Amino acid sequence: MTAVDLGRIGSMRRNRVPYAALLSLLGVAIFLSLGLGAVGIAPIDIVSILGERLGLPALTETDARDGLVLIGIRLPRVILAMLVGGGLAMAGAALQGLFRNPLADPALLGVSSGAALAVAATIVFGGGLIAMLPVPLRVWALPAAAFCGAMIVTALIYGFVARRPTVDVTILLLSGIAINAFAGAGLGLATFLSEDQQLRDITFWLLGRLSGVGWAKLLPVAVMIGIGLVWMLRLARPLNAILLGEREAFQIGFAVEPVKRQLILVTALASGAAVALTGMIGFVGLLVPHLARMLVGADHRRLLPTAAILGASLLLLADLLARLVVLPAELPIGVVTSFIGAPFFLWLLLRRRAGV
Amino acid sequence: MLTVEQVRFSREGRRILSDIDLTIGAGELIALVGPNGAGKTTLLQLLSGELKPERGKVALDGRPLDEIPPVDLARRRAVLPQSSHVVFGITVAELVAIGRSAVSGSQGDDPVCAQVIAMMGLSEFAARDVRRLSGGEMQRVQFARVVAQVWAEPGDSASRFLLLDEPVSNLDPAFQESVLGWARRLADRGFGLAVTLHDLNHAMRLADRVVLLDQGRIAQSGPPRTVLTAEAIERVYGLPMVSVPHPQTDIPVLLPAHRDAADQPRT
Repeated sequence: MTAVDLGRIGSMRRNRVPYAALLSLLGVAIFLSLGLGAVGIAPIDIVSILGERLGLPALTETDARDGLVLIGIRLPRVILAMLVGGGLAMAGAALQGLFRNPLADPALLGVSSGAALAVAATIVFGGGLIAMLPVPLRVWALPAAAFCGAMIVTALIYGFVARRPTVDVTILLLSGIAINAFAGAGLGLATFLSEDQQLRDITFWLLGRLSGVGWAKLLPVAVMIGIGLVWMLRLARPLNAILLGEREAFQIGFAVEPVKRQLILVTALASGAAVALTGMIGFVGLLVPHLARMLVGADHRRLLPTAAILGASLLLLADLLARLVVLPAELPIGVVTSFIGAPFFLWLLLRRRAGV
Repeated sequence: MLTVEQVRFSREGRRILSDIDLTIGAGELIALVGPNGAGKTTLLQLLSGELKPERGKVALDGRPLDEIPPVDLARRRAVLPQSSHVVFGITVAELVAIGRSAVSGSQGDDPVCAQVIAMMGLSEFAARDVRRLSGGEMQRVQFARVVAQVWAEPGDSASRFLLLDEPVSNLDPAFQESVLGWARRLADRGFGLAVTLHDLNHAMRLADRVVLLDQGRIAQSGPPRTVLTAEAIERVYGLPMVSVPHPQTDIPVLLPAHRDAADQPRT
C-alpha cells in the first residue's frame, strides 16, 4: 500500500456522516411524538391526515378529533422541538469551536439566561410597548428580546475571556456562573414585580416547556433558527481553522475577526430564539455536540449538521418522555434534559481531569 | 521577495523594534538570532502580516502586507508557531487539509495535502489523532501543514515564504535535526525562510544569512561565519564565548568560555 493510500484512509476514517441512520432516528422520533400521548394516533393515520392537508387522497378513515390534535397541537410542538433541539445543539457545537473548548454551551455560559432575563423583563415591563406594536409584529417581540439578551452575553464573555490565545476554562465557567447568578437575580426581581398572570407565564416558561405554542408564534422562531442554522453551516470551514488557534486561522488565510463576529451573532440568534418560546432547556447544547463528535469527528462540516439532526431527535424523545411519564400531566422539558444532562456533564468533567 | 524597510514597532508605549531593514529572497534561509526580548518573534509577526508596523513598510513583491487579502497572503507565506495545542480530536490528514482549506477553497480532497504528508515522511501518522502525537511529531506535522498551505499549483512560479518561530526549542536533538533538515531542503527547493533560533550553532550550520538582533535593532547581518563571531556574541549576549572548528565538518562551533555555568558573569 502506498503512502498516499494510507493518507486517504486517514481522511476517510470518519468522513461520512451516517445520514441514513440519523434521519431514521429523527423519523422515528417524529412519528412517536406525533402518535403518542393522551390520544394515540396510528402512524398510518398520521400519514393520511398530513397527506390530506397537502391535498393528497385519504389513505384511511380518520377521526376528526385526531386531525385536530395532530395539526393543532402535536405538529407545531414537534416542529418547535426539532427547531429548538437542532438550534441549541448546533449553537453549542459552534460555540465550542469558537471557544476551542468542549465545555462551552449556551446554558452553561449564561447565554440562555441572558436571553431569559431579556424575555422576562419584556413580559413584565414591556407589555405596554408590545401593545403599541402592529399586531403582526407582536409575536416577534419576545424572540427579538431573547436574541438581544443572548447576544449581549455572548459578546461579553467573548470580550472577557476568549481573546487570549488559550481560553481559560476556569474563567469561562466561572464567568458563566456569575452571569447566570446575575440573570437569576434579575429574573427574581422580574417575578417579584410581576402580576399573577405574568408570574404564571414566567414560571412555566423558566422551567422549559414546549407546550401551548401555536402556529402563529412558531413562525418568528422558525425564521430565526432557520437563518442561524444555515449561516452556521456556512462558517464550518473557518471554524475548522479556528480549531488550530485564532492566529493560525488568520495565517491560514481566513479573515478571523468577521468570522468571530458572525459566530457571536448567529449562535445568539439560534440560542436566543430557542429560549424565547420554550424557556431554559439546559445541556442540549453541551451533550449533543459531544455525541456528534464521537460519531463523525471534529470537522465542523460534518459536526454541525450531525449535531443539528441529533439535537432535534433527542429533544423530541426527551419531550416524549416529559409528556408520557406523568400522564395526563406533563413534566417541564427543561427538567428532563437537566436530569439527563447534569450527570453527563459531571462525567465529562471527570474524563477531562483524567486527561482522557 | 519579502521586504522590511525602515520598520519601527512599539507595544504599549515600549519600543520593540527600530530601523529594521531586511530582505528575504526566494531560496534563502535567514536565521534571526538575538537574546530573549531582542524582538525576534515580533519581527516574525511583522513579516507574517499579523502585526502592522508603526512606521516603515513590510511588503511582499513590493505590495504592503496589509493591502493583501488574507487568503492571497496565505497562498504565499505560512507561519509555523512555536507550539500548538488542538483541543478536539482531528487526524493528522485533517489538520494538514485545514491548513490548505482557505487557499484551495475546498478541504480534504486536495491531492497536495497527501503529497506533502508523504514527502515529509508522515504517511504512517496520517490517520492518527493529533492529540496522541508527541511534541516532536506534532511539530513535524505542523510543519507539513504550513508547507501544504503554500505549496504551489503547477504553473504558479511566484515565490513562497515560510516563517518559523523557534521551531526546535522544545524538541529533542533528533527531532531538531529532522525539522531543521526540512527547513534547509525547502530553502534549496526555492522557498524563502525566516527562522528564529536560540541555538547559535544551528544558525551557523543552517543559514545562508544571519540577522543578529540586539535590543530591537539589527546589530549585524551577513553570512553566519562573519556575524556569529565570539566577539559579537559576547557583545550582544554578555556571555564570553569561544569559537572552535568542528572536528569533522570544520564549521565553527560556539561554546561558552567558562568551565562551569556558575562561573559565568551574567546572572
